[in-house]
Amino acid sequence: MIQSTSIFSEWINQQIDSDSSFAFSETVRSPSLSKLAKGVFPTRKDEEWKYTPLNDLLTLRPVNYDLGEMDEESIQYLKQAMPESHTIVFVNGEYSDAFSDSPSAIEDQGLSITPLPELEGAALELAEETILNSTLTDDNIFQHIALGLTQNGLFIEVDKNIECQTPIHVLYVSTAHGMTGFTSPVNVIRVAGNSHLKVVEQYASIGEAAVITIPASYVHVEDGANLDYYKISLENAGTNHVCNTIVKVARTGSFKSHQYLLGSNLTRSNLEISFSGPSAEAVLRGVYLGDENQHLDVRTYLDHAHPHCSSDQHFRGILNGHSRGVFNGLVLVREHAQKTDAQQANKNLLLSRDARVDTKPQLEIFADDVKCAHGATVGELDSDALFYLQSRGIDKKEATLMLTRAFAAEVTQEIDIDSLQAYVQEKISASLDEIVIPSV
Amino acid sequence: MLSIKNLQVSVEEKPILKGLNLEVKPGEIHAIMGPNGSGKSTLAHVLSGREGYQVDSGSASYKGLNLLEMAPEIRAREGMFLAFQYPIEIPGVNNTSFLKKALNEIRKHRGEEELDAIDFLSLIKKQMKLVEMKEELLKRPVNQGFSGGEKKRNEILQMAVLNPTLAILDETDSGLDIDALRIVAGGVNKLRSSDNSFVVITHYQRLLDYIVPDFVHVLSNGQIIKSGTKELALELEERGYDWLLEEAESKV
Amino acid sequence: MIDKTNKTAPKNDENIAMSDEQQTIQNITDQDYKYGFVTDIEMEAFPKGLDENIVRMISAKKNEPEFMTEWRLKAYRYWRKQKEPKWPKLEYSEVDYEDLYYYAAPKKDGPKSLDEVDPELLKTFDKLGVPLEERELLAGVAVDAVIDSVSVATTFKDKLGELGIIFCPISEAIQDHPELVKKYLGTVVPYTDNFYATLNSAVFSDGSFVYIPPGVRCPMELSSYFRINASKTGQFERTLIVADKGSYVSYLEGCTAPMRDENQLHAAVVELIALDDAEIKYSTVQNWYAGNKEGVGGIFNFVTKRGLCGGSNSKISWTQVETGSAITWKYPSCILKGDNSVGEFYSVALTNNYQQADTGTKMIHQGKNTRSLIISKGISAGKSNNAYRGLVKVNSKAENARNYSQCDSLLIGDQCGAHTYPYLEIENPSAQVEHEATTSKVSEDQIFYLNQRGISTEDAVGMIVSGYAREVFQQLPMEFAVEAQALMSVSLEGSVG
Repeated sequence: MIQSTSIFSEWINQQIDSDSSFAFSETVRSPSLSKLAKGVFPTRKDEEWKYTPLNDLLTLRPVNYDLGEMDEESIQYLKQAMPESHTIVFVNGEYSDAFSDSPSAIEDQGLSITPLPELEGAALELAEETILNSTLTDDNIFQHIALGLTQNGLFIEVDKNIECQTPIHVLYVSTAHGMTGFTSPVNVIRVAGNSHLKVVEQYASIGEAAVITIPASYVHVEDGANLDYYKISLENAGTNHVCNTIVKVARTGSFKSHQYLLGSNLTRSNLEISFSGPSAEAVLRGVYLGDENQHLDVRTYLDHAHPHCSSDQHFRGILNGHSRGVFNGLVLVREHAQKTDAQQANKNLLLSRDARVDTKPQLEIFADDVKCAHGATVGELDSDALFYLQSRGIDKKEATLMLTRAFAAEVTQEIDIDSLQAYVQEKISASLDEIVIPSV
Repeated sequence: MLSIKNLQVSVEEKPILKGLNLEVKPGEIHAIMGPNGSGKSTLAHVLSGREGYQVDSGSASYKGLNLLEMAPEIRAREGMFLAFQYPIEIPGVNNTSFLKKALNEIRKHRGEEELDAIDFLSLIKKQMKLVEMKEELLKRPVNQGFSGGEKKRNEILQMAVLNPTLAILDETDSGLDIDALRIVAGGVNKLRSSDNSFVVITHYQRLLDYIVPDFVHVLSNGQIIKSGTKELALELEERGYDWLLEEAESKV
Repeated sequence: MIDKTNKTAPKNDENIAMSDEQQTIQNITDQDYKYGFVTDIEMEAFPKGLDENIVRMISAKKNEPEFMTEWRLKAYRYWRKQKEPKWPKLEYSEVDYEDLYYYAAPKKDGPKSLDEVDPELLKTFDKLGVPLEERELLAGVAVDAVIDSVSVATTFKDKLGELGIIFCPISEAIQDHPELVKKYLGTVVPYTDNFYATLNSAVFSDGSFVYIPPGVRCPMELSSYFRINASKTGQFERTLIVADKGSYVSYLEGCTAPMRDENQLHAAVVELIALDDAEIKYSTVQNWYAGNKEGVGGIFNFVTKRGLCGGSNSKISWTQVETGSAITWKYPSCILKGDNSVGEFYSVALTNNYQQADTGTKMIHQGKNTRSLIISKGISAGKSNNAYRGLVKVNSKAENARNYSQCDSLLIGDQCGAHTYPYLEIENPSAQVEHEATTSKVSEDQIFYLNQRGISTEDAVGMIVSGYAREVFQQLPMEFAVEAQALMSVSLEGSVG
């Protein structure tokens, strides 16, 4: 790590000194603020950031900008992914009363959704306790930006034994034009024993502003509970998106995650999951799709510390133009975590001469009676399959699209919210439509 | 040869064998029959020294030795052979080298000279004919990629090569078609002599059409509830186990 | 260590021969490190520590030409500016580089033939299982034996000489073939490469040099046994193998070291160069002292091995069986520069007690239609840690590159660790790169099955482990495979129940 004196860190210091009202108490903020004061950013010498340079990010300067208006039409457009859901909307980092469904509209008993500024008393304590009980292995500055400086975000809490029928759709929308600042929303999700919840986090932009989005999510899935957690990131090409998701899954709990990283200039997603009891499971799915100069970096960290837990990861990358994909996954099986079943797969498709992929699937195993396997592949489309389609009269571009869509669909078909599956597949198709056939 | 007295065995605190008695003399073939869960496989495993079984009381002596105190490989070297119900696959370990190693361990134990490669090869080729086994199976890893029938034949081949004094066949007939059954049984019959004995564990009578036993015992709920000659097996075939079980219960 | 019964076994029946290997394994039952003895021969050593003067003395002692002295000094000066790397998965006490001897050699001048070799030394080789005369006669293997630093015997030189093959200590090559050394030394592993390679470049004492002329197929396996003997002596071999156009050579390297309580550093460099249509097969069996059961003592093995497939259609194949050393840090690599060139890496790394191994390979695809294959079999037992770390890199100009990697781990007991860190860096869309890894254990069912056939538990584990690593053993020349399996069995003793 280097001592950074970049514009970005000057900017952070200004934020620290401002008199804004921050979401969390000193207990949560102080440790992060002291890290921020040092302003140390990871560099490529850090093993976890080997393939992802932050240089561009650090030279971004906030200038005058124009917050565009959010209109009903745009909201309806963004809601199409989840027409039947309870929707919470944040516009340019602020909770929007106008566009969010009112908390009283929640039909599920025992489910409460509270914007962070409204959080107080026992609920605030519980949210903070959830955060303080989570530790990141990749202790990077971005989670400290989120914890130390966030003014907004959500606390979602489900009581015991609740089967939540309606998924929660959280929309973070940027409407700004021109250069703008950053948002660092924090989401805290607690699903108590034997309850079931679905949450969709969607990041989008209406304007063309070069926003830096630095979300952090803290998730606790308690005994026997289930959380289906979807994340769709489709911000404009000027955006940088660096997110941290820290998940704890207790005994017999189940955490299912889908990540679709389809936008932004630079995307870095760090997903860390630890099991705090036996027989818990985690299922991770994801697609990262890059074009032009996009850089997409997915990091996963699975900590198996208890016996009989299972984890199953499947990530696929599609890289076109000059884009670059990174997958960096680690499965750690600690001593005594016998009967662990950990599977990890990463497949990558390179569609252009200048695209590149760096993948690093890793296993660290300290228990002998375990089933662990990983696999990674990198390649281009199967030329036999392409030819077969062409010989049936399908032109090369269409054949390429079909095969690439099919490559992504092997993951997206596991999305079990129909509207969301259709939305994601359509977004992937739309991105692929712009693909220039590589001159083979 | 083998003398089991009041053997009581439990698995994870659960009693399985509840006072079993059995005498096997040289040259005899004993069939042990019984419904599922009666303790047949437990008996085979305890006799061969598999871990995980707690002997609560009773004794088992083999050739005058205290069987229950011997390590599994020592029992094997003393001439006891278990044909596994589910033969184990051992990737990468060549079938032939495995068997040569086993034979020479046994020969060493007996104070005999170890067989060299050439003598061993001629022995194994001779015995393979007994079980009509394809020669290519010798080159494969132990039981890996073998069909169910090939695995069972491989068990009998090993038995033929190791030439045990007491062989326990644990449901060797399960999963075999009639041709394979005939071949396996034929192998056993050719190995029969006045010096060696067999304990044939089976659920069905059909194997006993091919391997004719001197005695048939019915195992139920951890005890031998009836012993007889081969006619008993036929009666069981005809009438099933229920009448015997009822008879045994009425005695209690 | 050659199994004598092999001679009577029919050569055409591999299965039978394999069974003799098992027999060899059985023969080895010593609980302690078998080669833990110290040879009592006169040693000549320079003072401890390292400065320019020591570097000059080493060079002068060997009557090296000016270019070598200069090269060493450049490396030394560079080294002084470097920091020792800290590796993420290795833990060890720091090496005090000022407390090492950088040169130690048997005092007498180099012998001209076997008859002149110090009888004490020959006995050492006997104990190691390298009976030179016997090998020469029976196995047709030419042996270039290195004790501590200086080659003491080279056999079959005349026969090789007739074909134009040069096989000699590198110190001799520097004098007799300076043009070849100058042309190739440091071209694959430059003196700036890494901390240990830099140190090696400054102080390397001896090692092997091989040159195979164009179109020549080396008729025998070339073999060299390394051995660390003197106390507190860093061992810095340097090996350079050049296979000229259309030639072929198979080179075997075996290593043993006597028991010591103090850690000893070993920082060798091996450079391979294959020109057009040439093939080099490099096999290693390494069983240096691994420390005792409490993890005290043992060799630090920090080795840089790299091959350059410089010509088109060239091929370099690394095979290694690593059972020794307290710490192994080693990544035999291939730079696939020539079009259609092929790189292979077959590895068995076994760790027991407190051993730590971090080993793997780098396959750098630069030419068109280059192919690489990685088969790695890690075996962890005791309280050891065993990591595969490998890089497959496909450069943007490397059209149609192919790689397949299989990296398996076998765990014996629940106190050890098995780790897999593959790095795949792909910059060309026509590449097809595939990495797979699995983890397994030695199952109780398998052990019982073998027990029931009369085989002891220790032998059973040895057999299962050898079976697991079979794909790699098959790459080794027969007698090396025998030795390797025997070593594995010895290394695993006491690891199961």
